[in-house]
Amino acid sequence: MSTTLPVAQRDAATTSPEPGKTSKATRKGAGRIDPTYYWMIVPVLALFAFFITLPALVGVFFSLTNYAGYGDWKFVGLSNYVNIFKDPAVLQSYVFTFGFAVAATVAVNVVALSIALGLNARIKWRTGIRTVFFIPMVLSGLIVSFVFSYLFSNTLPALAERFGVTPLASSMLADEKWAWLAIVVVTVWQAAPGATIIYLAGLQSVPSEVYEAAGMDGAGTWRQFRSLTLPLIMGYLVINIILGFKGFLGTYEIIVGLTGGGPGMATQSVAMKIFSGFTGGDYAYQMANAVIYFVITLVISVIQLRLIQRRGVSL
Amino acid sequence: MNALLSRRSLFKVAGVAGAAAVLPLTGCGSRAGVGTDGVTTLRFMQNKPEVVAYFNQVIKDFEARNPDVRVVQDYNEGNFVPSLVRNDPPDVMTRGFAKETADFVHKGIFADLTGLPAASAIDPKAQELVNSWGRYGQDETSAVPFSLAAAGVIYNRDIFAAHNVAVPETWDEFVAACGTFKAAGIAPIYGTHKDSWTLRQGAFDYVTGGTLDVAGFFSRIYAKGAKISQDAPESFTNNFGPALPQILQLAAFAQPGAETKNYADGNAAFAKGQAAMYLQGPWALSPIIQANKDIKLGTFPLPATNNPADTKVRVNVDMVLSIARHTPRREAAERFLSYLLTPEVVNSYNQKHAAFSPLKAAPAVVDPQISGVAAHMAEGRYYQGAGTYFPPSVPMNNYIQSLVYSKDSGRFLADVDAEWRRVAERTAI
Amino acid sequence: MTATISTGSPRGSGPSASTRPSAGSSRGSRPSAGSAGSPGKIRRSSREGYKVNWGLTVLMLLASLTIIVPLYFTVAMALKSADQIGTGTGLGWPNPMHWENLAEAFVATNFPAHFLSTALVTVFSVLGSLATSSLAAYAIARNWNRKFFRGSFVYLLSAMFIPFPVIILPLIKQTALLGLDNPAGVVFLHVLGGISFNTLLYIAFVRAIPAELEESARMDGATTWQVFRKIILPLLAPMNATVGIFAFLGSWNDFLLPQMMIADPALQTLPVVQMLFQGEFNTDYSLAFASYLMAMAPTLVVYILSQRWVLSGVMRGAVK
Repeated sequence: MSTTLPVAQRDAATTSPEPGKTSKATRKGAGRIDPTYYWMIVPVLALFAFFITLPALVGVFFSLTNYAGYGDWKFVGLSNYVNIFKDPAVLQSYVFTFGFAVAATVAVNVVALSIALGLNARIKWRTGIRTVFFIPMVLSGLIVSFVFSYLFSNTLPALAERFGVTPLASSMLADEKWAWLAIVVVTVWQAAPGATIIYLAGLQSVPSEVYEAAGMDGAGTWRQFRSLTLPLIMGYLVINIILGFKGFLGTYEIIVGLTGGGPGMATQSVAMKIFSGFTGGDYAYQMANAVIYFVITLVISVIQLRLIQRRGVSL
Repeated sequence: MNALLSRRSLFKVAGVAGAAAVLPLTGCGSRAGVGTDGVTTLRFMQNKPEVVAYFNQVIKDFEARNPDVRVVQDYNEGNFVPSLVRNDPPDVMTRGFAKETADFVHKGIFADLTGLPAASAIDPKAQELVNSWGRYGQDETSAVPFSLAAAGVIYNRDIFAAHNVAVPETWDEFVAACGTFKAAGIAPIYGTHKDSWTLRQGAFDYVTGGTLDVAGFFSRIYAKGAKISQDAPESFTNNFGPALPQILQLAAFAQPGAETKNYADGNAAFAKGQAAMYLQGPWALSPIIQANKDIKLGTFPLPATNNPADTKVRVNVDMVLSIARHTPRREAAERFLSYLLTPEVVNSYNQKHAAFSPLKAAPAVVDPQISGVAAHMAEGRYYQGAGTYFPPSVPMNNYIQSLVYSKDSGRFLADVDAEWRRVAERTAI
Repeated sequence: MTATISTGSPRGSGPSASTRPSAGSSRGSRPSAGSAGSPGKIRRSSREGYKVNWGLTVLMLLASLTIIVPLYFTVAMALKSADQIGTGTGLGWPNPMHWENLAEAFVATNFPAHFLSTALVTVFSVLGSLATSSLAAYAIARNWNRKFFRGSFVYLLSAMFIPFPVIILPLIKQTALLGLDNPAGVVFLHVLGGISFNTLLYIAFVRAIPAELEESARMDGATTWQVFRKIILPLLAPMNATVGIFAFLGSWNDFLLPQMMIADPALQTLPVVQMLFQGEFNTDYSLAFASYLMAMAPTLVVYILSQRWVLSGVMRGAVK
């Protein structure tokens, strides 16, 4: 949102080869504009308003009613919102979702950065290995989690038993304390390639002369990474963290496929709660939850960007 | 101007053409009404994915007799609420009967089938299983039963015979039987705790149904509305509390590692003779047989007390038939529904799927797999599972799974009472 | 479809994870990064004759097993009979193989008809996404000094934050009133839901195209439309690849939107139809895995066949 505006503005400044010229052009164009430009965007805006904004407003309105999704309804004011805050199950789902999003963001970025560094290094068969690493990106998360559900429940315990690793002989998915870890693992499996692409793009934009000029070709790999690579790709790291965190807050399919919110109540995400309203006759109540969720993600994204801007990371 | 034209054509590509190109495809679908050829197309939503092929055959037979009607089967139940939102519900539908379906009844989603001749063939006792949930407009018949499942304990007859164990008639005998199997190194019960619904329909429903008046309890707690508290006489704590140790005891008879097994695993393992008993309904029989056609199975109702006269079976109203209230294709829909209720269709379906026909003139059940519960069904010694009475917004399966894993009865009762009160508060608005 | 929730974009796309990268690469594509990298830079990776780091190569090969093993496992499971499943780890290769599982799943889902429906939805979603967002981005980027266009941009971006569940039921009502409760409606929503990310991607890219390229054409009398088609569109090729790929994946893998929006079961898309084998009462692992495999195969095949082109396109799109 507003977050991207500064980016775009800076882009405008940095990318136009002659800033003076651009401003002249704009001044010249300030008065009259080719109507073609309106034709390019107004129909899209109209469709967008009708198919996205209008239903969103209607949805927000229904959060103030006792609508079940069908049939008649009446206006109930803010009582759905009041009830949400009194509902420990909903609050628990927020706690779980935030904890999960933090863990997944860290894990995905560590893994993705490692893969990107590996792919960018002097390895043999790079194209083939790269092809393999990006496969998860093209698969449906739901299907992937069905497959992993079997692996975690049957294959891993069987392997653990065979090799005598008793702690693993029971499935992670069956343990209220560790089921979240299985969800993180599958999330990493699925989301890491997307983040890897961005890191690869970042790494490849670092010219090799930088390393040579710094005379650090002989320096330890870790030092080279810490003092050269990492600062240069900081912007990419920030992007991955912001978008990843927001994405993981909405996690749904992988949980449905792996645990269905269980064992017990251990892995109920906010999105699952919201969706339960569709079949449960709890539509309006969960709409209130969805509106709260919307506000929270918006606020978090804005705060993250503000913090980043203050720290002066180039975005 | 030339430019304008091309701009327009581009927008066609952008959105409109996309729609225009897909639309003709949608035109040939099964949408509403009587086609130009005089054929009425009905949408039939069917709630059991495992019998899609069976109903395709039923539909074929129906269409052969009724050339003016075409029936399209839809097993995407996730589309049901959206279809209500669209004001375009399926013309005919089957559903499992539980609180959610009762809510649809109360909202007047379904047509009144009272005068329909085919509906009068239904056994009033079976119809009462549906009507007891409350009727729309006091006396309407919104749904008629098509298939009743009697869920109890499925047992492996060979294992029972090999260890000289008779079908237990009291709780103590049942516990003793479990002890015998355990001592012989056989898992007494195959547990599939990963699929939380199996815990709810099994241990939870069987014990509560066998020890409590479930229907009476829920009618009292529903009547109490939002004024419920944990220490009220109507609360879960005061009614379900005593049943919990028995539920936990039952769950503990499962094989080690039951937490990692789901329903499909359970069917496969039970078919291989990896346990003596299996707390499942008749829907599990055919997948077990499919995996091992030589296995000899039987079903008995779980004796939850030491008085054999108390023993009841869990009846699941597996499928009811309804017609959408405002369908413009009412006549064809009634014809199809009546066809489904003809004895040869309804009886053969239930015979094939080891379920009970709801017809007055249903043939006696001789299937050895379910004959052990036939007397209970005939005499009305049954109950509908406690789990079916919860509003779907209460994640009961998860609560029960939590109870079995943590064995924390106090927390379970407090959670369920609190959750019930919150739901009652907000739905009472 | 989580996707939609997670990203907040109702594009009805695939898993949250799969839209996310698109978002990511979108930002990654900022021209600022490109200009920082400076044109004519040397890619280390493309340097030939480097000394191969064998230790790392082995490590990467081992790591890639985490991807290959689950895929191998899916194929193996799909070819097993009920007997062969449920013994051991499930990692063994079936002997004999049961190809009939695939045939059975193929028949039970009425695969060809639903494949066609899904393919049409996907093709039009991709075309629609490319056309609408490149045009919108061009108009916005070239009129950044005007409030209307800046405002439009912020407005379109708002879709990234609207949770999918908020809009879905009212949307179902609206599309039904318009007769769009069918695959065409799904196309509309896939295009509009993805428009935030896609426009974002394109804008950064359009900005990097020097204005002089256009100006000379304009002096020759070209209209704005002609400029876009003849000059801008060809230059957008790498970004078209990026947007197209993510639109393809999001549309093809989407489950929730078609499930709820398409009224006619005959026109339903594959991911929804394949749920036939994936419910909680599902009992047949071999059919279930056969259907998983059939769901994965199309995107996998397209990816493997086009991966060189796709990845370089995405990378160039991201780096430029």
